[in-house]
Amino acid sequence: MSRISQREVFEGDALPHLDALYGMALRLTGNEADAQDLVQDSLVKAFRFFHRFQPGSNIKAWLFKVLVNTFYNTVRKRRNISRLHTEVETTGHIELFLASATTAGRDAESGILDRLAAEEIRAAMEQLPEEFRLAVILCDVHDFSYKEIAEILGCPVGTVMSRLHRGRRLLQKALYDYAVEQGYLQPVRSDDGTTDLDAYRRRKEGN
Amino acid sequence: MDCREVQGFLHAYLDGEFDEAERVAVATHLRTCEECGRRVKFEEAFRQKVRGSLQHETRTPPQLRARVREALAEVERPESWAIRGLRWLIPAAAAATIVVGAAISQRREPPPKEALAEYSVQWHRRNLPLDVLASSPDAVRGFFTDKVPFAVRPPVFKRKQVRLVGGRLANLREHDAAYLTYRVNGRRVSVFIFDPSALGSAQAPREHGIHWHRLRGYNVALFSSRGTGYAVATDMEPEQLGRLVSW
Repeated sequence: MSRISQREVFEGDALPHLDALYGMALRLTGNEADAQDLVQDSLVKAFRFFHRFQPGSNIKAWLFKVLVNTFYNTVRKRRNISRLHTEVETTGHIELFLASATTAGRDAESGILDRLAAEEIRAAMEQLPEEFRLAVILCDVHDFSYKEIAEILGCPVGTVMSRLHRGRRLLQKALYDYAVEQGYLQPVRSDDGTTDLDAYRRRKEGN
Repeated sequence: MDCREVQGFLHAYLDGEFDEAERVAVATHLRTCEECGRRVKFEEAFRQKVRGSLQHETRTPPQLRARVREALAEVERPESWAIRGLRWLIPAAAAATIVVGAAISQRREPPPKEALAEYSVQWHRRNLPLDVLASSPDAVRGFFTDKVPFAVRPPVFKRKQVRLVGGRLANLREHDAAYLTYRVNGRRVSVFIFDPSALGSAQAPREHGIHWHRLRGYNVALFSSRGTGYAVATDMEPEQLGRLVSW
């Protein structure tokens, strides 16, 4: 029999996404050794279940789904961490950003953000609760559609939307606080005043 | 669209989830609303910033690529728990006829049941260590109680010379199965017990009748009895086996 083996078909479909899968695995596990194991386990599993993949649908999304599930079932179990369900109150930090920028007479939309370094964004991202972080990464880094993200995370599209919404708000809050702390932004009064007070205290401590 | 709607769906809009008509509706609003325009601009810049900060290339270490390919090759190797024939399991229509001695050399697209038989033969050949050693069916049944999601009812043999050796967890396709080993006059008989409803109609043996398969020198009998699926793999001849088992 000289047909192309199933493995060759699988490798042709799956291996072009190895870099993306490894990048995601790194973000999930936080270290290279676990990330490598996770990628290998996931691809072996995907290969075993390749018959379940519907030709014509998005193989990358399918592989990510297997990766995320494998992570939850193996790495997470080993570390004995339960899934997080965090309730977060986020007042509108976009308003604060915009108001600050107006006070400073600067172009809010590009000016402030330009001053934030990539490491600061990455650090803020690390602090996000995992369910929000995953949604934001899948959307912003990997360009998956809401429907694909819902499929990967095994939740309804509405949940994806709310996770993205809240994740980005939290990110903006963290970065707003940071920008105020660094003096990139003049704080403005927010509705309840807490954010500014926190930032003010941190600034005082820093001095 | 008004301000509330635009701001409520800002992310969906910027993430490209809107269809053409919806995009036009937002664009129309933005032409006249400075406030929403600022928000859109900010959110867009924010997204770009996040994207730019996180989308740095992750290069896969070369050894990982090699490791993955090796692991996949291992899965495919016939002696290992092979995936061969897996793809046949899905689409092919149910072959409801009783197949006697289907010649493996002639197969092109084998019917699903043949894949089930193939799996049974592979497990039988591997002869892996058992999880439980017990000669009483009740002890073996007890072992599986909390391990497989169905009741394990060992088959009933008519002759005393059939001796139960023990069992282990196995799987047929991705489904859990109980694997039991018997000895008959020094020869090994492997019995797989599975939940036929988990396999779907194309794979599951019918309640009446036995599907015989001959694969690489082994005979496999597939049958269902009172809601339990059985696959019996052995190197004995069907007549011989038939005299031993109450089907």
